[in-house]
Amino acid sequence: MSTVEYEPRAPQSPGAWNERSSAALGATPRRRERPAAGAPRAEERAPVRREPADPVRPLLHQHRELCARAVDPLEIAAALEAHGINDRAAARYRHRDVFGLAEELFARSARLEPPAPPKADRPRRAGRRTRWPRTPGPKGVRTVVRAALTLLPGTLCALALPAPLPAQLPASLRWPAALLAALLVAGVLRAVLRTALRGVPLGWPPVLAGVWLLGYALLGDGLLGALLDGGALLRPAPRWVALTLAFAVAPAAWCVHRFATGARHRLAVSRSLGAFAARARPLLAGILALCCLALLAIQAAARYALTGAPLGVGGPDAHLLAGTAAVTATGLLLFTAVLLAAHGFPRPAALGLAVACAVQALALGWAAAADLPGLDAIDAPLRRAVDTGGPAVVQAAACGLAWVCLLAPAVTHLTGAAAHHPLRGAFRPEAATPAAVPVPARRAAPPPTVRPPETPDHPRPQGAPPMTVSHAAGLPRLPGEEAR
Amino acid sequence: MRIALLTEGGYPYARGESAAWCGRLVQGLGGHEFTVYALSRSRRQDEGARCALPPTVREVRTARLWGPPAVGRPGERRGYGRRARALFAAHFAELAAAVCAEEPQADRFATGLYGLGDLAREHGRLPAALRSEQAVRLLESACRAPGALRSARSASVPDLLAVVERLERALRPLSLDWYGPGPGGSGGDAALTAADLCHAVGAGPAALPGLLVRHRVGTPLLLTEYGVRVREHYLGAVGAARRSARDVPPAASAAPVRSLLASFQARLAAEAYRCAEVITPGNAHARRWQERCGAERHKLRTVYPGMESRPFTAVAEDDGVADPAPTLVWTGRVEPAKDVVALLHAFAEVRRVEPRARLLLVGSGPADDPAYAAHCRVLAAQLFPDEARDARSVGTNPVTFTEVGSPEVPRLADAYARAAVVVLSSAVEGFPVSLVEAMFSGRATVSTDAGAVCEVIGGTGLVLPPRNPRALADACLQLLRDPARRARLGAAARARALELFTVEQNLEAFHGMYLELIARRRAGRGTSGGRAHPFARPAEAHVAVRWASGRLGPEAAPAGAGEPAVPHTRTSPAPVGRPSWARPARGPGEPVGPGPRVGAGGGGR
Repeated sequence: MSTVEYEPRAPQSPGAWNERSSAALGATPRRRERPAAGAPRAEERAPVRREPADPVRPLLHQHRELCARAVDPLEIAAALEAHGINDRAAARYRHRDVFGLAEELFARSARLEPPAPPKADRPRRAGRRTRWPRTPGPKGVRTVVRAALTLLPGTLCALALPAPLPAQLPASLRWPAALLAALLVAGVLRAVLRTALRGVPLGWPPVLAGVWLLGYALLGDGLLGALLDGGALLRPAPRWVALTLAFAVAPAAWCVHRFATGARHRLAVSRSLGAFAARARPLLAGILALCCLALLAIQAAARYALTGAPLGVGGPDAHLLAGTAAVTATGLLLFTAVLLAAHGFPRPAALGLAVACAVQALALGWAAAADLPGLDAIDAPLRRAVDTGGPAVVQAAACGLAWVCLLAPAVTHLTGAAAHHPLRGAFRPEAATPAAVPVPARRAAPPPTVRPPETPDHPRPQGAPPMTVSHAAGLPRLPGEEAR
Repeated sequence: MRIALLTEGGYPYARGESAAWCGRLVQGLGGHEFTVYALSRSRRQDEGARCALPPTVREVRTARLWGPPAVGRPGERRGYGRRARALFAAHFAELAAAVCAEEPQADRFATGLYGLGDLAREHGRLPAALRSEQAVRLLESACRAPGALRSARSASVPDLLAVVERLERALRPLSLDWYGPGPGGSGGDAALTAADLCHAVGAGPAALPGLLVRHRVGTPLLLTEYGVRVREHYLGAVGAARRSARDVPPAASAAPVRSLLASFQARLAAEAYRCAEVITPGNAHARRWQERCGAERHKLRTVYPGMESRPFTAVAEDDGVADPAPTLVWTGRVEPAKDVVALLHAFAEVRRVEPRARLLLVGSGPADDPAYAAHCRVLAAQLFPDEARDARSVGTNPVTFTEVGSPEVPRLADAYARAAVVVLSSAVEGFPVSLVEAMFSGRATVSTDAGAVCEVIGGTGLVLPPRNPRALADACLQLLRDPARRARLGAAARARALELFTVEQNLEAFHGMYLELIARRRAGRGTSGGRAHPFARPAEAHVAVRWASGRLGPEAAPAGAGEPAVPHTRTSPAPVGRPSWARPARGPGEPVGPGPRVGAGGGGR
């Protein structure tokens, strides 16, 4: 590079541009060009292993998956240390410590973009399904068992009701037989409820309220009529009422299951709570409408099967309408209560049932009060209502009112995401456990089949057989899992 | 002193972390009275074996950080009233905002945390509220707020539910009945608030009770971390993404969930570091992480984990005489992180110069990776053929793989006794226990620069970069050729280890810190009330002895004890004369004085 005139061009050597710059650099390029006689020439020298210009890039490539999914530089730092990169190694990458290196990796790695919001507003049918616990066996078998279980109350009722058995039995055996049948149906109902509730504890009040409601549906109208007009106190409702309610278990259980599944699908595709609520509201309305329709259809079928009266014959009968409304309202009320309880809100469910029970009890008390001396005319409004639509009016009014009351918490709670937590109901709830375990006496651990964990950070206990250790503290140890 | 030992997934569960260390602590500090408050991490741990409790442990109280929250009494099942709900909303919004924020907001986090703690004390039912729709909604609005974490902004509804679920579990210590009188609290002397000092192991949920008690009555908090909780959380998050455990929701691996949970963990650790009076990392590595997570330097005092030195100190010193057939010894578990392959290659180099050298590899436990162990054996067989003295004798291999307990090496100390040089070839290492054992045995060591090796060895052994067999061989040869230097290094290493890494040093350090913290504790209630009077509350205010036992002479009863000690179910083993902490803790012939990194003033590296 001797006496080069200045002209603009790309630099060709690491030396100075010209005289002026070489003076500024203070170097003597001429001498550098002529090596000493004994020194090996450039091509004879051992090939120098060059560091790459960007030492971090290979590291980035090596850990690209880790860097892409890291949410924090510290996460990268922890993983790098687990791979044996310490501060001394970080100096190779021109960083003061691992944290600095991790920050550079974090900044340079292309973040995995969050998955695009799902395009389809309609949730896919295929996917995770709600688990029905406590029914072992493969999926198909489970489905069949479940369906058979929900159909069992109706079948039992259908078998028991038309049978002339109670009539032929002597009077002393009639009541035990009825009791036995009721117990059988109650047992089946309990099994269905347990399945539908998915392990949510119900407690006694809602169960008692449900029993009262069912009892009123079967015997209440007769009792009310007897209180108003006199006569035998025990006059059971028409047989189709019992048959309808027993068969309604099947669609109700299916609706509960369907609602849980549908809500879970909608949950998975929702980006915000508002969006989920907007999707869950139509679902809830649809499920309620479906249940209502199923109740009406079962009623019509049951009435036709038992009485042979086809639908719509004889025009709109006020008594028949009231009876239909009463049974439908009772069924809807029980269904909504179960739905609420199954999603972790047994308290509003119990309150709703309690309202219905209270109104019914009030009506009975009202009718009974008229028998007291001096209160003859007190039941006039009730008598007028019963005269218009039959005693079923009271049941329809009570259950309808309670259902409307229950609708508000149902819409509020069931359209919230917390009601559809994937884990809710997956565990068996545990009773209140004593948090304190006072040490009763010196309790020695059983001879350690489980050896005390041995980590470098936490050296071995006294008296333990000597062993060396060793797993590096740098290796991943999972929280929620014991040290190995 | 009454010390509340707060653990999470550790002591007294035998399968827990740092159970051995905690066991030695409660056993070694006989003059204090410990109550262990343990949080279990899984059903397996909760139902598993527990450590034997020494008499110094007065009571063990446990709670679960897993599974569904315990269903309270029937009266507690319903939700909050209007006022409590407003309070919950305010506090949880603060907490959620601090967790979701990009920039750390320690004050908001603390406000929310202690607010929730007070709410749980007054109204109870915090777990139900934390799982409610209201909590999910508050968290969502915090995620969508300006200045929120970038990855949290895209959180979907299942993500929010997963985060709420995990937060409820992590915050469960707030609503436990450990804190004395209150609704649902079993009050009185057994409560955590009556303790003189809280010693938390780990800056995770274990520190929460300590923080709460410090906030309420000003109990000093001592924080010990042998493995930094934040770092474990990150490593666990990496693992959880690959794992499908039953109680981990599938959504837990999503980026928003991981980022929010990591943020919560970091904020909680920062609050614990901020409030702790003293933080004791187990080594410089833990210390760096703690500093990174916000611990102030003047609070940090490195206390090395103590190790049982007795079997190793019985090993005779290196006599400095050249051995015609020197043995290199490696101990540990044969696994890839230990880089046994590099050691074998290095030994091949050594053999070229020193043909009579031998290598003894002592496995110290079942190998996690049997394939790797088999690979190492095959490699050794390929590199080193069997050798015999002459044509008529049976040959042996210069490389021997063996286990502790075999007839060749009945105890680990015997392996070190046979060593001319102890080699550690790890590529990844935490606290190098085998190195410390070699130091106790007075052997010269050659080790790779990984983990806390440099810090442990100081200048008493050779250190070289990992994954460099040639350098390893050179270092070994240097020591093999120079027996005098070997002996000097071994003696120095033994002196260093006996000074820094014994159990006594560890206990002494913690005992000193206990006394120092109690001396500085304010007499009044609350942290802000009044000036600090040194020794306003003497350490003897509560002595761990039973007054009516008759074993205690009248001269030993502390005259100036402020409050009478309540009768206890168990007594200290040696309360005769003076309390056991006042007696010299160490036996004769062992070095006196705490290690240089133990004293006050934030020394250490």
